[in-house]
Amino acid sequence: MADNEGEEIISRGNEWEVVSLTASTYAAAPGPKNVEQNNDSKSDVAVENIGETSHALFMSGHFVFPPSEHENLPLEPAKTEIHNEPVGKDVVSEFDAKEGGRPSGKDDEENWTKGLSVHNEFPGIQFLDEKDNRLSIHGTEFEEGTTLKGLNLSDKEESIYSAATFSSFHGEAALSGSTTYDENMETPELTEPSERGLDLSADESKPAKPANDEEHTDSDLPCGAWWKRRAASFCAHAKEANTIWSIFIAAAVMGIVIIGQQWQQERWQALHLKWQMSINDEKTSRMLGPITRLKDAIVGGHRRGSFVEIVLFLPLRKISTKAFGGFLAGKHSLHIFPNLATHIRVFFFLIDTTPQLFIQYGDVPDSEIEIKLMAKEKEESPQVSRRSTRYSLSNSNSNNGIETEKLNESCKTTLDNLFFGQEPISLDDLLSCFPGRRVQILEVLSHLGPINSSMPPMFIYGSASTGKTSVVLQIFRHLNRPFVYVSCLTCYSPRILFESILNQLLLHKKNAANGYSSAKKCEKPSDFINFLREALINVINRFNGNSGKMSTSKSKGVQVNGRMIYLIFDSFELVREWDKSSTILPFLFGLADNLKMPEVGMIFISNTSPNMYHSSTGYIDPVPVYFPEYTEEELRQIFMINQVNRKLYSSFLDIVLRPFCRITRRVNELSTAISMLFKKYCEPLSDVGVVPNEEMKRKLFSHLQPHIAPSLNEIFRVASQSSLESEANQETRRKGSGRKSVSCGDFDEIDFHMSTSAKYLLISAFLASRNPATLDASFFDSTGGSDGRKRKRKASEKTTGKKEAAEQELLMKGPGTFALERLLAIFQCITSVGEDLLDEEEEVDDGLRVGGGSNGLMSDVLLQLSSLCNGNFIVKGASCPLDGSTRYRSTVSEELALKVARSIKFPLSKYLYRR
Amino acid sequence: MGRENRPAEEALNLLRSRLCNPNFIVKPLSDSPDSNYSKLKFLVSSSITEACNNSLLLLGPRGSGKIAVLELVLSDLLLEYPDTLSVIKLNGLLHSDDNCAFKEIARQLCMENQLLFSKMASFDDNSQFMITMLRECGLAHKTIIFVLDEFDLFAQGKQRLLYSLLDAMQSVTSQAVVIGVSCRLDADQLLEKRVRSRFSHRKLLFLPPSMEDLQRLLEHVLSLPVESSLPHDYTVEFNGKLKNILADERFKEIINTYLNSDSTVNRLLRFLFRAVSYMDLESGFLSLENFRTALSNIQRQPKQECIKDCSILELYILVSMKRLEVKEQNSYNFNSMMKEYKTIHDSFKTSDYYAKNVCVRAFEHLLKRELICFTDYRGYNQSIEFRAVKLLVSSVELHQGLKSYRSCPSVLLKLMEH
Repeated sequence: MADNEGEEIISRGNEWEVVSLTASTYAAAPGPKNVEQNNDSKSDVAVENIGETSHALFMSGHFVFPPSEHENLPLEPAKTEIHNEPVGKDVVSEFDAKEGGRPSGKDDEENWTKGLSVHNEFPGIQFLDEKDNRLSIHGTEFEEGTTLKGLNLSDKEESIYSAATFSSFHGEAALSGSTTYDENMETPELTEPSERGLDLSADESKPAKPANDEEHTDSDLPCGAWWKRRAASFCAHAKEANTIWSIFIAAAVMGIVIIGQQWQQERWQALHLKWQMSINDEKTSRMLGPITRLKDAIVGGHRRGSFVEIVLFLPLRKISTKAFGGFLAGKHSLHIFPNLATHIRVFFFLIDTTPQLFIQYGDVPDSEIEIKLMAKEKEESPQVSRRSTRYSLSNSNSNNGIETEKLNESCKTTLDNLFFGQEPISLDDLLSCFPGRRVQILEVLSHLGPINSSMPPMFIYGSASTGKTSVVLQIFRHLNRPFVYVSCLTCYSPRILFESILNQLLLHKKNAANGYSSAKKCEKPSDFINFLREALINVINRFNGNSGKMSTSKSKGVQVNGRMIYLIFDSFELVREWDKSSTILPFLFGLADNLKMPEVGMIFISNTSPNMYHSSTGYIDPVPVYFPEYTEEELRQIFMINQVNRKLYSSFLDIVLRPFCRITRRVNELSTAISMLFKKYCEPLSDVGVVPNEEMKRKLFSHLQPHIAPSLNEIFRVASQSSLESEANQETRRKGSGRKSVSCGDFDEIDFHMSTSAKYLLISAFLASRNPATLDASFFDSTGGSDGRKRKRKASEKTTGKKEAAEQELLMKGPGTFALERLLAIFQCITSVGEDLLDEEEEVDDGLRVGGGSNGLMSDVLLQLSSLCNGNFIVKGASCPLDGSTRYRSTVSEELALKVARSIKFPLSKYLYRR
Repeated sequence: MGRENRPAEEALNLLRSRLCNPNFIVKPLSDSPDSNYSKLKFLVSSSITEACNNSLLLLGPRGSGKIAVLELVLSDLLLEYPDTLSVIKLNGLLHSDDNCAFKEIARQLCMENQLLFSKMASFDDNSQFMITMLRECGLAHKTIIFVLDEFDLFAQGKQRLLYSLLDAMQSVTSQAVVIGVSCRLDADQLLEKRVRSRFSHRKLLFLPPSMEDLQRLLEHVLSLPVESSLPHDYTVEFNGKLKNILADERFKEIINTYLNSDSTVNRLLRFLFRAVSYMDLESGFLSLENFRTALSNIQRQPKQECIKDCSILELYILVSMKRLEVKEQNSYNFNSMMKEYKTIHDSFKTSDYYAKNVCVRAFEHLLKRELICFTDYRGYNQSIEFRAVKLLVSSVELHQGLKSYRSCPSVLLKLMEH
């Protein structure tokens, strides 16, 4: 399909490059001196070639617009619509505008994900790929027939698409978007493709939320895109015919549109889960890269010392939890010590179907996540946040405007961006920034030694959130020595790691001019080591030459920076999983020995201790430095940093810290839990600035006492931002929307929206997983169901020994698997029961069930099933060894299933087989 | 740092750069006639002067200075025969792939002989080129020395590189030495028959240095040179203090404890580096204390540290898992652990009983710390509660860790003792 096409073109591009590369290398003069030259010419050629290839792509008709405009395209699709719809004079143009706007709601989300990973892999050709993405996404969503049709027409359609979209965009841009966006482009932090992509996506994915009026919510739905596709082809034909015909056809198309929208509105209930679930596994896996770049982004941004605000909307469904956890850790490490991180603010908006699912996301330190429910019922809060974030974004951008130019200059000319970039701090500051890390800091410093002294590799390890990365980076700020920071989390494959190191050493910046390509292409360690040696020699020579000039150009010309350069590998434990042949691990550990350059120091930062690194070939252990967890006293010091009312806070910590330390000693997890409790603690106080005396302390203690025990059990619970809830409640009440706001912390009700049939399906999947298949007949037999059930249950209670064994088995094996047929059968049974019950109680909810009867509920069961699978409520297990059909397994807990059942008044417990 | 510490800093720099430079270290060990240095030098130089082919293996544990000795020999020979020697260095970690290895050989040959190297040359081209170059060099009486680091990795796969190298050396026209370096003592057993029959089976074994050698080495490395930019009296005082330390019994004990675990030269250097980096710049002299701290910092017990890092709840989980193992349950998962945890709570009425989600999180922390791990990768899409797990600490380690844990609940210790 379209994907193939794209890849063909890409590979062709590579071939061209190869051809001219050979030409250039052969043309280059011989001899060892010329290696450098060779490489230069190679990179030149590469750039040229990229230009060439994309040129060819322009010609091919897929590509009718300059890339910069295409990048601008997804900026504010929702707005585009708003501007265009009231105009409505020209039917065709309006339609086209919608055409552009509609799919973007979801497609863009995909586009950026895929497009971004494309940045890494096929630099320079990403525009094409984005286009392809769009095609392929359409392809996956449509029925087969329409896909074919769409593809046949793809050329014309694409041209219509783009032309229309861009014309409308231009209007929009002229109105508001252009200025902010341009600044956006220049911001150094945002010139990294990943970040910018994410940033854009932050804007883009907002329209994907339900917006103000009904029409918008509808139009944001991706699932109705099939008729747009057809309509587009109609338009293409219409343009060829004469004007009368075109008007006629346009009118007909409008009719279809209106009908389609009405129909769509009805389907909304059933399909809303689908809106962000169609990202399939493959795509999400490609999405990991850009998302994981964020820690780099943050560190990099920090390093350059400008003001950054990052707003993220993450469709956190199957994002690698590791990546996400690392990302949060990155954010966290800046937030714990706020005096160091004043320049960065990070907002996350994670998008998922249900907060409960976070529990399954293994490593996510979810106490960090503030959940805002973005389902349909909560329109107001995202709206507000959107406005505020956009405001703050533009704010930060304007701040950046001046700084950016300066930075750009300095980045281009000097080696400054190998340094930390901010004012060096003194040793005392450094030590006071990191309470409890004094010994470790001094140890690292002694290992690094005085200026110009070489060192063997160092291995820093300690569990999460013990300040490894922050300490090391701040030490380099203190020493003001050049370093190269790479995180194996963000550089998730050897190739990306190598290229990232080389880019930093060669002072190469990925930007639009070079098509976001790396300075050097290198995949194999053997190439890497040659390039690295070359680059290092180059840099060190420049240091030697420039050392006089450097010190004067620095703000304070005191430091002699030395000629040592340090390579820092963060999150090194991930390297273990990179390749099973395990040559990369000994290679990286032995990099210093291989290079044999005394000017290079290696620092590895890892979560796991050195004895957890196994390799068949072995390596010489680097010198270990251990960062232990903070003790209770140290935690206390950390939390006392930047407290306004120290007395009050310390009396609060007296109560709280000890019990919490028994559960966890991680700063990031504690800080969120404690901050919530502190609000509770301060509730009785009218003035927070007051210095508490003994009596007041006692009073406050008795006030807080009842809250401690429950909060201990909720320390890791995801959605326990009570303050946030109450705010949201107030807000919704003020708006008078009349909707019942669903509280996040309150688990008595389900706090996500789900259509009735999806709920039934969930329940039936749960039943199918829990109940043995042999008992289905007795449970669901419509005639004598309840009698048979009771008899069965009693019979099973007789043998207690068997029961225990079975219980043990259930504990071990977890929920069972089931075939699709069984699920559907149960579904049909329980929906009919549910119908009866509802009819008896005469509580038929009109809004939810259109058409009534089981037919309404049966309508899109398979679609629902796939969205439940995507939502991780049901997982696809291994296929059955006998007939090869896929088997499913329900992952919901019993509590959740009971809650769901309660919400649709379904007597679940009656049908549950109790052993 | 004041001005008066300049010599101390300079001395520190000197010592650190020495310790990072293996060539400096192996020098004193290589002057005796039966040292590996002399043997290797004799072998290589004889094949250069007699214009014959040779192949040999340098074997020894990792970090025993094989490469350092080889480098020393090669640099000496390059001085001796500047025109008739070219060295090609390959590393098994980088070039274990035959294609890649031939390319690298071709590249280095081109560099050496100022020829044009084409990146796009095929495998055949490169191997042909290498054979031709060998013949040409043989005709010009120029010896090519191939150094194959991590030799055992070249023996993986089809061994085409080794075969064509050793095969080329069977002819009279070529003039080359193949030196394999490996830390596997059975490296020559890994070779295929056709390769092994072409290999000369010369092996040099690198053993850890003897105690006397080590004494000499320590003195050689740590004492400052008398004729240098350093002030004379400072140097004398420094060396005097160092002598005292080296003669000290306690110092010998420290060194011995360290060498008991690992006695290769490189490890010793790491240790010395650590000790030297602790040198007090105010006084500017090494002290026994430096070595002691270095020993405690370099010999770590990661498992114990990990257990010390755990929170009380995590300890409870570890202990209940251990109890399950004692009960000889062949496999268990989070749920069975929770049951055990609950029974502990019920029988002892502990204050630390937390809800399931808290325990899941603590459980995940343990997974992260790699104190426990999943037994298999099969149930990958199962949720965490149902996957079978196992402990990665022995019960002795756990018991020890609990005993050294500050404020460990007495219940846990009691449970561990039965």
